[in-house]
Amino acid sequence: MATRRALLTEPVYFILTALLDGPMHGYGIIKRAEEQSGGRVRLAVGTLYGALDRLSSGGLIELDHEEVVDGRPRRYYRITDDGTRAVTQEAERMRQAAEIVIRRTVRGTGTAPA
Amino acid sequence: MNRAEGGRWLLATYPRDYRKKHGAEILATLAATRRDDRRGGIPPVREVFGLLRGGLAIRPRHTARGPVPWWADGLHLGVFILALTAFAPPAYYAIVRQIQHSGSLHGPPGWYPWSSLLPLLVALALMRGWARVALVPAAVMALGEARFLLGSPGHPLGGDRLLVVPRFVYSVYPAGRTLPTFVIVAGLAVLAIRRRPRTLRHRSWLWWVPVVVSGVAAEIWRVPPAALRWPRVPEEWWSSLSAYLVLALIVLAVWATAVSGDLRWSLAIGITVAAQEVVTLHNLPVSLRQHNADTIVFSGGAVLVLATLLLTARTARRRL
Repeated sequence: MATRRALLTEPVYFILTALLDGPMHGYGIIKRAEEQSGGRVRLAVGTLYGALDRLSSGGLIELDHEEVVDGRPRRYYRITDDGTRAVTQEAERMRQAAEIVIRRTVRGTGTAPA
Repeated sequence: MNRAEGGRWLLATYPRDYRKKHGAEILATLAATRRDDRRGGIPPVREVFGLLRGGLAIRPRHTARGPVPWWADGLHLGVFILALTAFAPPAYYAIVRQIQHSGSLHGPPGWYPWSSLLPLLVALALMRGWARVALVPAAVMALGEARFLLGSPGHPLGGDRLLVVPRFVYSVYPAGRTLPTFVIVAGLAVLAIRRRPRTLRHRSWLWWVPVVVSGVAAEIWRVPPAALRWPRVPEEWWSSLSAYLVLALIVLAVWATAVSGDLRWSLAIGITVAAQEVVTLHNLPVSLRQHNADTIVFSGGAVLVLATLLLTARTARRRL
């Protein structure tokens, strides 16, 4: 029986993906999400901290450490085991969904789309 | 003052505790993105809108994570809104008459200052989160209502209903103004006997804004057209105002449920709707036979609102 799990929005997916490489601060997450999405996901600061708040209360991320740079506080967040599981499941779901289309496209044209 | 400190107004919508903990961090991140864009001054609309919206969305989520359980907070909010409806039109007219005849217990039959003072005491006590204190004036209201229901004036059990009983806003059936009193008492009794945690949240004075707005609107409506300095607004507009306020309240509840996935706002709206519309729902079979459009619309609307709230909570809990 399929288990019910949280649905990840695209910004949340890329935030969790950014944290897979290790703990990161807010600005780092914004930059990494933009890079990894090919410039498609440009997180507004308010959106980022709203998502971090939700993910933190859901146990998918947690605070790693804090430091002060140029007199400004900087918090580093890290992904938890639950977070890693959630983003991996979502990636697997998207892979399966993409495969259906790609397989048919290849069968129909004889070549995979570029 | 550096740029980060200068942008504190951008955090105006965030809860105070959250702002204290994350405010400097958020502004530092915003400053970093601005440095990256090599731009100064006011942040782009996208960032301003994102921060204002983000702050508003965090509020219900923080409330949902607070120490008060969802059912107690929802019950508290529901009975508080019910107490406020004693001051909204058409109940407002009753209060105006009471003030006009205050000091005279021999004024027009039935209109006495106590009937507005008691729900005021209930509402003020609930604003401070004092369920037990609110229970006392609420119980006096319920006793007055019970005396009216059990007997008639002159009978040992009977009494003048309106001596202590406020006139609550109702929609279709006049019986809807009786039930809120008992719902308030029942809700407060549950809140008063619960063990932990005993504290309830404080309610903002902003809750009185719709009450004042609807009261002012009702007062303008009462003024003869000749006494007005500006063109008279169509009566239908003012009479619809309370409906718009209720609609705004429902939209707010749906939004808070959507961003938090918490059921406390559904419970509060459910209590308010049930106390005012249960008689409407009870009479639905008869109304359907008689094609009573008002009843059908009210019943359908009430069911639709509650279903929307529950579905919204369910969807919000599954989304991250």
